[in-house]
Amino acid sequence: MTAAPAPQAAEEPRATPAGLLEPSAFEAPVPTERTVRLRTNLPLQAWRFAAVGIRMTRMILRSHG
Amino acid sequence: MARVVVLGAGISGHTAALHLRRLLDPRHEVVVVSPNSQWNWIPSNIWVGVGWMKAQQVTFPLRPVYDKHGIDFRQAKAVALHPEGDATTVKGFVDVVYTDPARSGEVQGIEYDFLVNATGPKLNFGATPGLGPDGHSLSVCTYGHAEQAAAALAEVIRKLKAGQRQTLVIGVGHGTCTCEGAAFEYTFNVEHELRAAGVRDRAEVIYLTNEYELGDFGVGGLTFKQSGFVTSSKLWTESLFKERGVKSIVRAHVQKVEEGRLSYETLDGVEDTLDFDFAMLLPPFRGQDLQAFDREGADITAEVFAPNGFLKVDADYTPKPVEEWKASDWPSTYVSPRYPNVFGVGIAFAPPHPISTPRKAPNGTVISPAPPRTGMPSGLMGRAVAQSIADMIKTGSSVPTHHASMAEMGAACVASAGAGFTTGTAASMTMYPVVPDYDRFPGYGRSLTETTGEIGLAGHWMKHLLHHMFIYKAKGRPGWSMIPE
Ligand SMILES: Cc1cc2nc3c(=O)[nH]c(=O)nc-3n(C[C@H](O)[C@H](O)[C@H](O)COP(=O)(O)OP(=O)(O)OC[C@H]3O[C@@H](n4cnc5c(N)ncnc54)[C@H](O)[C@@H]3O)c2cc1C
Repeated sequence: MTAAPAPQAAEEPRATPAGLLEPSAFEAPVPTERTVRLRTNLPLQAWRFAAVGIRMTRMILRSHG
Repeated sequence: MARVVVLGAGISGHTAALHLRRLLDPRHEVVVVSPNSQWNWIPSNIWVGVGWMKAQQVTFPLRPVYDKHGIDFRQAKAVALHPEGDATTVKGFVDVVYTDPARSGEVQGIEYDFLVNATGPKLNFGATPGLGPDGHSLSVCTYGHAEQAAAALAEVIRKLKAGQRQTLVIGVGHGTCTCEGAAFEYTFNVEHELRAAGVRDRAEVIYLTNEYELGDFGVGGLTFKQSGFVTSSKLWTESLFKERGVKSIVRAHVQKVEEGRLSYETLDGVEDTLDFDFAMLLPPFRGQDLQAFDREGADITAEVFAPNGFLKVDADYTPKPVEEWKASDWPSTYVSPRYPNVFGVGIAFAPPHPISTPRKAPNGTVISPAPPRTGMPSGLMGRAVAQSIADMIKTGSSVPTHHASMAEMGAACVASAGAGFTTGTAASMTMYPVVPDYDRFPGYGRSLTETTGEIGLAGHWMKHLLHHMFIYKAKGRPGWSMIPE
């Protein structure tokens, strides 16, 4: 005797896709509000712009032999 | 009189052509063959893809620039190389098919004394069924693709504003893709746009990648100093994902893309599907479909090009395990080992091996990034090859004089993470050298002082400055050659 088919269950909520990493699971440090604010702080970023520019120029000059 | 033919007018080919014209006296000819009438600053396609820039802001017509500089522009597509000539000529020549509307479909053989193959990547959407704008996903690789992506993103934002939930998947569409930096950049620009539109809470943003871990970027990750610590690009990148609430799937190969759903497998052999409302997935790259023939007309494509379609140059292509990889495996003159007057630069040259550790799933699927050849290295190669050819023409020597190994040059990568003159941010990274050299830099393979990373508005300004500087340079305006590659 074959068993009667189980009644069709309502559609299950979708399982988490394989390998999906929730960002909250990372051990990495998160910037404080102050650090985030400083990332768009105009005077500081003007100074960082100069610093990044110098750093890149140095690296570019080194690459241009 | 010598004729140099440059195939491709992208970052490497255009740079090579402008320098050749600068270095050679006018009796020598510089010919550029390229199928597109426009030059495109590809890095800014990211901004076109979020609607922050228009295609016209990242392109300009090539012909006026070439006319001004005395470069012969043929709007055409190269299809075959005859490096030994044929029964009628001893000179090498290249077969081209015109795409110029005035000569569309016309076939011509163009003879050369020196040939530079700078044809970049073929966007190999066909490697994954359903991938790409002709299938079910979007791309930002060309300005046309980026405009489509911007329109689709605007529609997603409209639905989010109407209260619907939306899933956006951004990343790479095959296990062997490269250019993860561009996918990363697009992810955070989209995330920024969603936030700016006030709809971030209803959107799920997922970065899907073939990288073994976040921050690999196809260069095996970076190590740099920050706040008195030696840290990794993995930690740095994970921090950004955590801060901005972006989910991720790493070590993944996309098997197929259907309407609203993609299937993928991971390195540990698990297969699954992911439903989406918006998917921007970069394609894998391969070389353009160029063939090569010897003097008798025999097909020598397999000797001149690697199986992935890229031109073989002065690299060490001996297969070897990762532990035996050396900086010296990488080419430095970009000359074909078979033909001393044929060169391959930019994405068009065949790399000897990846930079990130190659990995395979249990069923043999390769899931690890191919090595990136980004803008600055591509420009530097174009310039070095132009200088070598100019010297070879002047002295009659057959030995290239200039070198530009990726193991001896750095790269600057400014990955925008949101546009806006006072609200934008970008991750500015520098690395030196691109290909790690463990003999020169024991421990990390790269210089800890020249390899850096920081996030801020300054990076956004830098990216903007680079956009204008490189378009100015590419237009060949006064002083262009003073602007570094
Ligand atoms: C979305 C995106 C964002 C990127 N962002 C950055 C970034 O921020 N920084 C960075 O450094 N790099 C970035 N890159 C990488 C950068 O664009 C490439 O490194 C660079 O374009 C490679 O230059 P290339 O000259 O080899 O190829 P391309 O610039 O692609 O040029 C190839 C040229 O060859 C032509 N061509 C094609 N087929 C033929 C043929 N059969 N015959 C003749 N000509 C042909 C093409 O029309 C084109 O003119 C990005 C790439 C992408 C896709």
